[in-house]
Amino acid sequence: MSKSFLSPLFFWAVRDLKRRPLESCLLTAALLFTVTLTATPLLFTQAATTTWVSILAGGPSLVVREFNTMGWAPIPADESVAIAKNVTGVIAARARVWGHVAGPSGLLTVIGIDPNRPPPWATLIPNEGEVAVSVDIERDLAAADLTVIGQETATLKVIGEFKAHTALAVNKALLVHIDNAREILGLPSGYASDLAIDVFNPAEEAAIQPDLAAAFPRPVRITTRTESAGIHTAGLARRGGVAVVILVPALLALCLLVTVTVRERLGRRFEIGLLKALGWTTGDIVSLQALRAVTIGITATVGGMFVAFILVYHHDSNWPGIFYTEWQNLPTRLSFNPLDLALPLLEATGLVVLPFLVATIGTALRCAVSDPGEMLERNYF
Amino acid sequence: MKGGLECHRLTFTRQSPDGREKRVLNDLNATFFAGQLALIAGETGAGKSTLLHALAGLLRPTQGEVLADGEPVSRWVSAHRDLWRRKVGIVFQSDRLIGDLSAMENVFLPLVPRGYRPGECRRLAIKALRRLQADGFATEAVHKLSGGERQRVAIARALVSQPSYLLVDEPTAHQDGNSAAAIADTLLAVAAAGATVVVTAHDARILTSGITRHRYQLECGRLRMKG
Repeated sequence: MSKSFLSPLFFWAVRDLKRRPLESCLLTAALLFTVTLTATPLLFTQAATTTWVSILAGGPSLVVREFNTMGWAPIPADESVAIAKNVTGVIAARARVWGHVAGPSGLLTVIGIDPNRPPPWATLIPNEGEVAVSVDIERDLAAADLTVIGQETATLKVIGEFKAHTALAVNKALLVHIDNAREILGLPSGYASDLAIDVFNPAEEAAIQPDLAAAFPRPVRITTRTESAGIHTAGLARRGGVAVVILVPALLALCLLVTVTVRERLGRRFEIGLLKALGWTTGDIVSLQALRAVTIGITATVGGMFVAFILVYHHDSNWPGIFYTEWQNLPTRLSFNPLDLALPLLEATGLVVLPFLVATIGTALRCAVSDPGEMLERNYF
Repeated sequence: MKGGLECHRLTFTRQSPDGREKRVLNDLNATFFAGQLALIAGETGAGKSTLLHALAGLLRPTQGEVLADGEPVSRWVSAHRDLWRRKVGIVFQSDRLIGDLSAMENVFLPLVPRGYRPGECRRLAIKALRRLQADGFATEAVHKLSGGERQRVAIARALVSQPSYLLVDEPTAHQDGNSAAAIADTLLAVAAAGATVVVTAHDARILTSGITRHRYQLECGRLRMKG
């Protein structure tokens, strides 16, 4: 006898699925959409976390802000840079000028750019009176000027749009000349919003904090890169988790649907009785149902993960931003790490495919253990 | 007993629609030897099909036992009987084919759980169908076939796994004279090859054909030898 490497039961399972194509397609589609709905928030959370970590990796190790009795206060730029550089372990310090202002349709983030020392990510360098705007800013494209209202009102000439890799972190951003930024934000000359500090050893971020705080003559608040990442990723994870929990009733409904479908199919007990009369064991019949379920499950998982991948990583995909972060018109460019697929894949499999398999196999087992005569008899005698 | 099927004080009770118990088989003793074809006649409702089902391990007797090659298979647990049933080929009175499958697919159904390659399954199915002159409609869905054609497909399905025990219920009911004779020859050949063949019939052509001298009459739940 010539035995098959791949179980002939598998071929028969596929043939059995083709016997009822509509039922098979609907079941696969239902499972595929459930996998998509489950995997998308998980994948988005993973991708956003990776992106955050990537963005923050390119940012400063520590951020120092000054506070007085009124709250946040501007920090003297040159003096603060000099103080920070004297702290052991600090390798670079730069004063940053940035803040929030009112734009034509909401809050905008103004970032001051020093043309003599532009940051490497700034592809457009505005001169005085000019502004480069991020693509998500709603404005009249025909208008060449943009008016913003901060401590001072300023009308700036728009020199172009930029798509920042940091879109997830900073949205609705304006790049303006550093002097214009100080004017708009009401910062005195020579003052900055905060201080960005790089340290020699990232593992020492937390250890340097007390020395750094002690070096400043006024009270400061210091945020580490790890703390920044934690704040943002915790928020994303919470939203992703809530989205998955909302799907639990849908998963229960799916399991119920599967149980009813399998029971109905096996309810045609004549066919099961016949197979047993022809030499099929209970194990063969359960294996057949399991292979059918695995075929549907794998198709739905691969399809569902693919759709989730496209939804999250597609180049101009802006819905995750709208859905999860309430940002409008933002094409979030998320960093892709193949390992990010693993957790959503495992969770989608555990939450959707596994209950589906258990529902199928459990129901099949209960239906197939009877004696064949009993199953054939109803129609026979 | 070695080689064959034996019924020992076999009793099968069934509840009738009015709630009364009816003994379909009553303390029945019989031996069907390997290499022989046994023919069982009896009136409609005499219990011929029930006897075949009990012999095939599809029904558990109310009392008594069925021995196969000396082993009390009717007492075995379901899992063991499921496996033993692979040695049995059965043809039901009504063909019991799956209507939306082709003739060939119906025939290779018994081979699927035995690990044959799909190509091998098809080859063996075609061979079995050819033996019954049924290979001409191998790819037709069986719901499109005539009663006689369906019956030949059902017999091919029973033969495809080369069973040690072949149990056939009314094999020639829907056949013309030539086909009935061909089927009888096939069953004789299977018996000659060493299988235990038990055939039930009330078709006069097969009862009077003289294909076997091992003839029984089933009456009042008991088997009486005629040959």
